[in-house]
Amino acid sequence: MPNPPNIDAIKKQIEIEFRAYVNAISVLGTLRDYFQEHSFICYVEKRIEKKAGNYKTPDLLLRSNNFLFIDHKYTESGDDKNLDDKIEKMKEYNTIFVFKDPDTSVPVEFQPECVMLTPRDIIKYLKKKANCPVTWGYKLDGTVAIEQSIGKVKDLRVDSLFSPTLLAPISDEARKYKFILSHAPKSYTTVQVYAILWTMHSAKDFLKPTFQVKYSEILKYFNQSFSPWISPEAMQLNASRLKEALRFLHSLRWIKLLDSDSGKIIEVIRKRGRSMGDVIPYLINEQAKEEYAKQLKKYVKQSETKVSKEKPEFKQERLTDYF
Amino acid sequence: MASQITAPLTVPQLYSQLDAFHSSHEVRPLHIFTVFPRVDVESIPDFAYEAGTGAVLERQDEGFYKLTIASAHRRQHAHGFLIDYKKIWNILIRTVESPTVAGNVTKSWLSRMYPVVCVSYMKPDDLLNIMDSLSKVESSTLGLRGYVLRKYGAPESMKKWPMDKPYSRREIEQTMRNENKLLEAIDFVFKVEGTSFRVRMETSGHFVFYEGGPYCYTNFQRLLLSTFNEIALVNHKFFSNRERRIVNGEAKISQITLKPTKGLTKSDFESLSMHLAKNYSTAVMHSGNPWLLLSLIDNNDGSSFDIHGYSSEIQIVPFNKASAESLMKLISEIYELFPLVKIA
Repeated sequence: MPNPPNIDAIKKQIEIEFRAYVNAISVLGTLRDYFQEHSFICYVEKRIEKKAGNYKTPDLLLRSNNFLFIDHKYTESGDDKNLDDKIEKMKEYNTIFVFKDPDTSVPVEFQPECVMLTPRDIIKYLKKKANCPVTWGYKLDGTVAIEQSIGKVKDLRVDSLFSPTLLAPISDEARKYKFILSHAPKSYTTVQVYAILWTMHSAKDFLKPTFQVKYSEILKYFNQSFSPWISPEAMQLNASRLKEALRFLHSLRWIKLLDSDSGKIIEVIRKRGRSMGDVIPYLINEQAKEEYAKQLKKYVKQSETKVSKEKPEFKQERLTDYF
Repeated sequence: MASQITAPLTVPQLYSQLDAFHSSHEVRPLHIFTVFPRVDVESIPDFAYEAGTGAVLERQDEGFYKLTIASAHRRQHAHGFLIDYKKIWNILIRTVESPTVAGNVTKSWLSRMYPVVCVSYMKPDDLLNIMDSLSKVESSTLGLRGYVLRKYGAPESMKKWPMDKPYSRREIEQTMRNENKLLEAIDFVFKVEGTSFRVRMETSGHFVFYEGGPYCYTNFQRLLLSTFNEIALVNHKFFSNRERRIVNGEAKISQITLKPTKGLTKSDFESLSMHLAKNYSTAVMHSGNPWLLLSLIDNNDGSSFDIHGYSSEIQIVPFNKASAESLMKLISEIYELFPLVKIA
């Protein structure tokens, strides 16, 4: 029987995920900045599996003269491995970085994943530009040697050459776009959606207690928040984040979701969500309460099922038998 | 008894009345506010009603109105005039009771009327530039009486200036730097062409006009207020059209960068976040060291900004909507905390 849910633990986890997401934007963006600045070309050393017409990249291993970084396989959250297992498995490489939550020093998984690199000067760069919470990982005997001259790569393990791109904004893009990716934490998306809603506030409603916005309009603005290199598929996924954020805002009574003849309307209640300091802790708290209620319901249901299973089955005797 | 009907006034007639009134002895000060309108002047009474205050306009001439305003719940009133220069208004309020009541009623009214009517915030440098330009007027003397400095969270401090000591911008700036304080107001007497006027000029676009010699108000209007209005409009233009725009699918931003005189720390960013949270919806995405990422909504007019703070600069990045008025207000809030920042 699992333990009953704990709201403090749920809240803590949401906070860590929130920070990890924002750190990922900062750290990975800085990393991408670094790659661009130094015009690195990387080598794919393992063949990328092709599955159902698409390239799947679970074993992607990239190496430049001094750089080594991988994705998915070791940080994928969908598998059974925990982060420690994944770190353990990465021992085969020269150097890894483990990103830690600055408050708890607990290793944090970043998405999109990019977990290891070398040499030390990139740490200095990351420390200076993003002050990212990194720590040295393992140092083993990396023996792979690759000549750097393009076209003269002799090593058979090298599959292709490419310039590294990460799904993370460099500082310029971070200023232009909102980076509400499909795995963005709910409170993060909600704040951005709320900001977009307010930008649609017209002068005639300046001092009115509420104002209304068409859903179709906010969807348009929301889509403009993304950088152009986000695919239409990702955009579609992100639209579901918009709906989730709107439902969340509705549950907080900061907005009302209304239906009208001309389509879906969002009514923004002006007095909500203001004069409360930083809204993030409040949103995380509310999200934790919502999640706790959900988990508690599930827990109660599981408990009830278990009790009913444990109950001795009553066998209906036939009257004739009984008597 | 038939009621007395007064003929409508024109602006030159008003100036002439003010000249006469303020050159006599023991006059009460006149409060002048330079503000940016966001709506048509005729709709002010309706907006004032929605804001829980009051306003009555009585048209005198083209772009010129008698104005009566009421404080919240209409407890106190102030009377004066509104001169509509289309992009900027001057509101002149006469003192009837104690010298501060009219000014305070108007400040409170303006605060409630934001963003319909917005105060024209000035940079401390703007005030000093105006002082510099006055000091260069031929055959004139500029007598500084004092200036007001303020540190965040502390009461203002009036720095008195010896009567016979000439105005020195360098000395004021040195004191600001030494004490890390914001210049809020300058009180001075300006003498030219056989006349003079005494004024207190504030960064909030508020003037207190005390008294002077013949044609004192006309000269104040010509030499000071019109210059102030022009600078306010230049500032307004600088902060206008800064919204994020999408051009051929790419976002174009027009950020504003503020440079501090010394490196900003995490504690500075925390103070900034807490200060801004008093007047805006804020969301601190990253709390500093070295990067502050703060999303901010001006719930009054719907402008939205991201603030990126680094040790060496603060960047204000307007989002899809960002009015010049809201930006100016935001920058004045940042000045409160970091009085010596400069717009890069």
